[in-house]
Amino acid sequence: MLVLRSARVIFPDGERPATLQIEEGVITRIAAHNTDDPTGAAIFNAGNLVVSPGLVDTHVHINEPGRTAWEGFDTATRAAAAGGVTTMVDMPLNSVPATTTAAALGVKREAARAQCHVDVAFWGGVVPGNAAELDALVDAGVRGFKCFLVPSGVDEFAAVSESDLREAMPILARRNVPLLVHAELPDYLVTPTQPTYPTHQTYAAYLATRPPRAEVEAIRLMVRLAAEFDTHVHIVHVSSAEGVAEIAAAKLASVPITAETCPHYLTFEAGEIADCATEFKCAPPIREAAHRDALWQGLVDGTLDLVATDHSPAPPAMKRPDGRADFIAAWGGIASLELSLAATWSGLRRQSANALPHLARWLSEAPAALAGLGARKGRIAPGFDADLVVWDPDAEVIVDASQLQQRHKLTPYAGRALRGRVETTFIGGERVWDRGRLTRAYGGRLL
Amino acid sequence: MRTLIKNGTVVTASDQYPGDVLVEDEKITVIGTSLDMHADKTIDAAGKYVLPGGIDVHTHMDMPFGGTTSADDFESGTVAAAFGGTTAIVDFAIQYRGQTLHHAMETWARKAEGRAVIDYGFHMIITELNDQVESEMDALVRQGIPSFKLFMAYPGVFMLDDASIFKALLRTGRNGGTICMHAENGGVIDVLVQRALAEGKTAPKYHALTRPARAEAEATHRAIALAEIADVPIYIVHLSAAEALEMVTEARDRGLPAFAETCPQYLFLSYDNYEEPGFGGAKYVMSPPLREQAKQSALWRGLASNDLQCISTDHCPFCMKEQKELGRNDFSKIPNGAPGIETRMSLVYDGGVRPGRITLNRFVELTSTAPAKMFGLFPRKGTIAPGSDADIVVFDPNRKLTLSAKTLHMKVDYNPYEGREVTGATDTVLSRGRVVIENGAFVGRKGGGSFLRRSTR
Repeated sequence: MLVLRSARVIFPDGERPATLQIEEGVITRIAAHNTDDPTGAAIFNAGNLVVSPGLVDTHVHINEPGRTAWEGFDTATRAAAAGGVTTMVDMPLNSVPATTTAAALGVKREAARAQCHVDVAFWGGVVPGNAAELDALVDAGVRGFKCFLVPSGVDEFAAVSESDLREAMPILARRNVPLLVHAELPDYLVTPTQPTYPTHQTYAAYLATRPPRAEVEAIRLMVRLAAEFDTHVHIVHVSSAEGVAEIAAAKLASVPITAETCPHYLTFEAGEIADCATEFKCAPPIREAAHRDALWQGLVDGTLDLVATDHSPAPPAMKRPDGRADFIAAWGGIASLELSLAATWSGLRRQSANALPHLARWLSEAPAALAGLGARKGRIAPGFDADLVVWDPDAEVIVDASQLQQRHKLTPYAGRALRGRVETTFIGGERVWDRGRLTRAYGGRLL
Repeated sequence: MRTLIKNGTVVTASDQYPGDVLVEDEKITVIGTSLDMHADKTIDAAGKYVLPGGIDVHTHMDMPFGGTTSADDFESGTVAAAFGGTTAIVDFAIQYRGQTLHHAMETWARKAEGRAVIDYGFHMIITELNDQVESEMDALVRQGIPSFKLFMAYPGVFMLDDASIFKALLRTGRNGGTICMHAENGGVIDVLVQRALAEGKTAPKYHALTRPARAEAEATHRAIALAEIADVPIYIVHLSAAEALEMVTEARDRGLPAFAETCPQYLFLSYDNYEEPGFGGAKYVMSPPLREQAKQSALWRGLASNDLQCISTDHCPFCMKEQKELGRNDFSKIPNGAPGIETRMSLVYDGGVRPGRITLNRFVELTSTAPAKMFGLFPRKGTIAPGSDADIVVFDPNRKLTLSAKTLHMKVDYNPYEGREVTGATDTVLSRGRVVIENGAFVGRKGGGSFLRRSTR
């Protein structure tokens, strides 16, 4: 039995001093701060540090097997533990094979076995022609499905057309699992006007190729289909003010839709991205400051449901193909699994002082619900898994990329001052990460 | 004294889990799964919800109005509240013209003290504003009465002019109080009433026909605009008209701190009730009046989307006999008000949660958590958590109840929902740790309720 005490525990309805009693990995009692300790219990006194529910990150590209040189279960889940992420849900692409068949899921589970330090679940993929596999994937345990409306960047995970979706969505509705959608439509992407290398060193050259219109039209298509098939559609990485407005309208019309944005869209803005800084490249792109403001507003007013990282690392060389800082040719993707809590909190604390319960909803409760884990993860309540992050929201941290746990250390956050330092991460009541080191290796479960 | 509530499903505004709750003296001390500690009393809540007690922030007990007094005093009204699953009220003290706020506070304290069986607080109705009253507002905030109700209706009785309203709003910007507004255009309504009476239109239904929805919408818009200029929050009480809700929604979409409550009568009764034969329509004479049934869905949408934050009752009962009868020949003399404190939770559960208009969590939020937060009672009340007051309702979602003046406990000779069957009703009720309702009987104590010193929002 473990007893964990803090003056600042974040419950769904607010922050208060409390004592948590944990037995067999589950929170069994919540009592006042000054409660007597039961005899024989291990005591963890967090003092004035904040105890939040462990983060659930529903958008992580682990890339193993197949592209393990980019990232892998060991390094990714190590980064997760360091960042207070206690459950992650792996995306079906960038691994080879892609998780588009039950057999491929089996291969991935085998690759992940005994390699994970935090709990891991899996999304399946909807690609052209795999409708017949979807039931088997659900039976095998995927929490839902991901699809792309534009080329994903890897050949083994093709984009779907409306007719593919019309085949897949009734199956997902019947199985009551969500469809996660990369919402950009290829018809609205813009070919670079000056196809010569030097101009591609500027961020503006890349930004102009992926206008908000591409996101808006894709969301409209998905709203229409979600309503027609009564299928839960989740729009991943919303990047634009116009995208937020489309989702707000759909929610008002009671369409079954949810949406996320990512820490980088909430942190950076196009104007601050220097020439050649291709570590900022991702799709959809980081946009102008007004979009960032609209995304924050969307979170605060509930239009956007959650924050997920879209952790998508690649070898640094891919960010500089042929040694050139070419925004058009560079691989897209930002790795921030370990920084999600600090980056999101750093932006939020400027807007609202009493916002820690919001943070827990966006980073823990809502993502757990998206992945169908809402009855056991994502909040501090009796009967829930004792997945907890103990952290100091006031500590200033200058991001030292070399200290990150992810395989490749390249990150646009390097050198940035953030608030919020993770001290200890508990999973199932076990101390997995404690003050800078992994204290329990390979204890993660495959959900 | 330790009481253990076992085997229920704990529901708050943000949580739902199978769990047990330990109460020690007046407080909740432990929540958990399978609690097994010794207790003096164990309540089996299997198959039932364990909810934070309801909080009704709009009641009028023992209130003089139109030559008579509302039929429930603080004892009978709070007993009825407890039967209905409400464990705290915020009632309205009234400053009459020429009197101080302090005098009003003492008067209402005397009405409640020694009678109320659950905890109670007060809002202060200001009917006359001068420099002295303004400085008294600051004192009241410090004394735990941080909310003030103003009227844009009832000229010559309660109504304040726009300048006074604006001054009061500005004052709350400094002292942290909240202005609650009765938003109807009193001038327009008085003209319509006089014209109707002159035309011989004296039946109860003319009460509604002389209080158009647009008069509520106009005043709602004006109240919000005045608050916007003063840069303070505003809370619209008993919002009834979809047209008024549009004004609140528009303001909230602009990011303004505009808030509003509605009441069960505006969700479950409609103008059609005024067409009851004879004088029957008088049962429903209240202000604002009941609106068209077709507009009710807009209020439900507002409740679901958080454009409306609270459901209160405006409980203000008058008997048909001797009270409502005062207006038999002149609708404008019918005392305004209806009973509702005992039926709120069951009606909203039955008509809101069961058909899927709102979630179970939202039901708790609208009836308990949001009122607690809005009026400075959270987290002492409005949730189930260690350290919070043990105001707890064990709610049976399957229990059927037929609403009737004969079986309900409000001291009034009719019920607006007479004969309506609802599913979902209170089983056992605790007020600050003491069982007050058990096995269909009141087992609490007259005077057991305490005055609630509320904080600013």
